[in-house]
Amino acid sequence: MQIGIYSLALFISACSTIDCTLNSRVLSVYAFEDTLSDAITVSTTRYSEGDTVLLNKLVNATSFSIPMSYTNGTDILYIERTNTTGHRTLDTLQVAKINVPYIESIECNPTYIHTLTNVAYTQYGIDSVRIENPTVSFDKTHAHIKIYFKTHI
Amino acid sequence: MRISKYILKHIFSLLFLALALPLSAQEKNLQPDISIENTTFQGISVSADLVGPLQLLIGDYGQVEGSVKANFGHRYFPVVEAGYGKADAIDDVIHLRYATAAPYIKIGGDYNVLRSKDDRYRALAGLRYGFSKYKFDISSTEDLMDPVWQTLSKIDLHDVKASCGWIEALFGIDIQLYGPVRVGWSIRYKLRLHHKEDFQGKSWYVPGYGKQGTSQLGGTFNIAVEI
Repeated sequence: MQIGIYSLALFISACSTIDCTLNSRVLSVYAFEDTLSDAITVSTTRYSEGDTVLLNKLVNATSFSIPMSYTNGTDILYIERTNTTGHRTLDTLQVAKINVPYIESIECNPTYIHTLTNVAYTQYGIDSVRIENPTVSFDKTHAHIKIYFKTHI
Repeated sequence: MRISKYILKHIFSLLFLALALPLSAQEKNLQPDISIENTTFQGISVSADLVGPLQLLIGDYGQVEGSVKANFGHRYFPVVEAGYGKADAIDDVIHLRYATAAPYIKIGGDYNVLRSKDDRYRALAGLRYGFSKYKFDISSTEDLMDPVWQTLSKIDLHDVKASCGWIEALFGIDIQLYGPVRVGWSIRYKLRLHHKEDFQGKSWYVPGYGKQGTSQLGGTFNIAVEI
């Protein structure tokens, strides 16, 4: 009887498994008004290792997706736009947000979900920026931020 | 008028004979014949589960559970089960800790599908509705590294409120061991009906239900005393 109880307890414990979601990356989606033929490079500044490139020379695109920082109150992005003649502009985009940890299970990597509160930007190559959907989570089908680029630089 | 002793003796003999006949019939019927359907109240039993405490001893979670079950005609058994579930688990790879401890309650009933003539063996099919309202803590045991921005952060959530309701379908065997003492086991399929967590994410363990998921497989091994 003791072996039976022990076996039943082990069987029950073993039967429970967790499947961590494959779609566990939280990315912010930046959409453009139209297809942009100019090359776009997006970088940011790491506190420990200097600048890092998040997106390198994207051309003929209508949007891009990049991760957000886990706990920074504001993400500072540098958006470099290069046209076909080689003329470049460099804009700074500051995205303010509230960060909340998301935990599927203690057996899965935790991540953060963000609520966008404000955007500030320079206007060398950018005309305007607007928050479309403030909740940045696992849904990458809808744009969170819309960037309106100037027609020519 | 004086009645003769002879007549009085015969009157009393006839009276005793009349009483003796139903008494002998009752002796033959002392063993309940549960093959005949009836709903007469037969008493209650109290029981304790042994699997839950063993889970607590060998693993990160488990529960202490008891129940009170009424017996109607050795066929219908309404039951209330209540327990205290506990979890304190650390994942050494992900470096997260989950802790909770809270009571839960289940109500339902069993039906003895066995049609034997005595009540020593029962084959029970049953249903339960379970509910638990609990709080849990989630914390990181080491700093979390942001893979892109390379910053460190900690997760430290306390007393996050949550609740969960579920149904259980079970099948079990129950055997009379000796006198009023019975033992039995059951296999249970649990289906979560509703849940609510006051945070972004999911409870890792729900007291009474088990580890997270829309469904669970569980079991019990009970020792019961009939009163």
